[in-house]
Amino acid sequence: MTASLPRGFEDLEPFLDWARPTELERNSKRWSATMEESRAFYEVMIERGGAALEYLGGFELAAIEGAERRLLDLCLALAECSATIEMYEDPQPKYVFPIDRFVPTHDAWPLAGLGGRA
Amino acid sequence: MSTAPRRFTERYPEEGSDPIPVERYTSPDYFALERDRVFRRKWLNVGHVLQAPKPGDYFVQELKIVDTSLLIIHGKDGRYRAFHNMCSHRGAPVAWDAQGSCRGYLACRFHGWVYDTTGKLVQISDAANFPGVKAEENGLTAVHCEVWKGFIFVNLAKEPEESLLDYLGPVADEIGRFDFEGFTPAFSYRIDEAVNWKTLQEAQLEGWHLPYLHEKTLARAVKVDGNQYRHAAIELYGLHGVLGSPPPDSFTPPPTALLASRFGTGTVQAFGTKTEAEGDGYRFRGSFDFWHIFPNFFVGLLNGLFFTFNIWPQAVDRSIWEIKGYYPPVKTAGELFAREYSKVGLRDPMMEDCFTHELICAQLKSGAKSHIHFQDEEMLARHLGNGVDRCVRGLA
Ligand code: FES
Ligand SMILES: [Fe+2]
Repeated sequence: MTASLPRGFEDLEPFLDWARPTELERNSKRWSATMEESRAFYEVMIERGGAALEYLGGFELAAIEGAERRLLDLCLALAECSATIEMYEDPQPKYVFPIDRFVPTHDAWPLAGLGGRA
Repeated sequence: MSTAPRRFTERYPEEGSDPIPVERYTSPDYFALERDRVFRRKWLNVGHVLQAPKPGDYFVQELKIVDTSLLIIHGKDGRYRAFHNMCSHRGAPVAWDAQGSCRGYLACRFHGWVYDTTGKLVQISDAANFPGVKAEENGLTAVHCEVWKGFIFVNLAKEPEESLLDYLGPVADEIGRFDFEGFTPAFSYRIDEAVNWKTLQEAQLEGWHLPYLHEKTLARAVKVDGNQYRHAAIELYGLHGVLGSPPPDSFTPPPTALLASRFGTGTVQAFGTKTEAEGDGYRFRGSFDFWHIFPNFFVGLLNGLFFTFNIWPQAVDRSIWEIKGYYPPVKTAGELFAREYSKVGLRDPMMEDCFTHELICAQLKSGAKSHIHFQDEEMLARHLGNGVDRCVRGLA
């Protein structure tokens, strides 16, 4: 069995549910998490994000997959979760348009490669 | 020290200061005039060359307001052309996908008539059974199309009243100083909203609402003067104009911004600092500048990225907002993270804007009010309505 996260990042295993491959899915995780879950994830990622991104810097971006891809998706999920912690202080802020109507069309972009989907 | 009131009203007295009739947002008759006197006459941005980078690439842009859909194709000769996406045989669309690529020919899927990338009909299937039909008279129907700085514009008039460059006027020189080289499409969004196309744009035509509506998101990244937001600049250029957003006196980046800035650029920090022009470079009015190209196109310029909005009226009370962001290409995971963080920081405030659009539109229909108001800092919103109204009345 392949490890779910690269060696050295086992401490992030409890947060694997945040590792989602598209913006839509990461946003939906952000909206469904509680404030406590969001804070726990945010704190660990602020702590570990630098090491994760440095580690991932050793890989060609477009070829990242498997355990490394999940680690990258955790980092990208921090971008979503940071809005909960640093801006709204609420995982479900009122008066924000729903993302299922604010459709990210780059989820299907081939030209931006991984960046497009991510 | 606070900024003197009415500075833009005094600089642009011709824009007036009267209340705005609600009818302009709700009347189907007014909307029909907008269609004929604005959208059928003015240059309209339909996208960017990066949407069809290689010869043979194409994309389709719906223009519901004028009941057509356009095929924009990057010709084998390198030129970009626009056509009504309609086969000369019986009217089927020639391109069925929103974007694609061909080797030089597009075949209609209905009965196989074939066109080249210059719109010429090069093959009539079963030609012997179409004795009177001449290929040379039955190419795709062209629409005037010009490219400026990578932005593709069309004009639906039989003969445009002016060239694209004349239409853009001084705006072309001003925006043209921005270095558009080396960017790549980074994100795009499409929002279909029950709102009038001018109401939708008005939220992007003033920054004064930032400390209110965007209290939790953007407020920290702009300067508040006394209790109010004051634009770094509002400048009008014919039908077009620009807003500059003032950077705050001090900006403390939150932890995620600090992490992002270790690996890449284009974070929300870009909002917080004013860039000085070097040499012939672009002259920023504020930490970011927001250009409005009449009637429905925006180019937002920041240090290290730019984004565009196209607002497409569908009906008097329905519009589509297309958002596209262009960033330097990302090569590492860290750069991707920095871009993602920047994107979320731009996206969430726009989702806050959207929340207001449909509520305003629904309420304007009530008839409870005959007029709405724009203040000095809302000069560019007033200017859009004035420009449209001048077109509607045959004055522009
Ligand atoms: S409609 Fe295109 S070939 Fe018939
Ligand atoms: Fe806004």
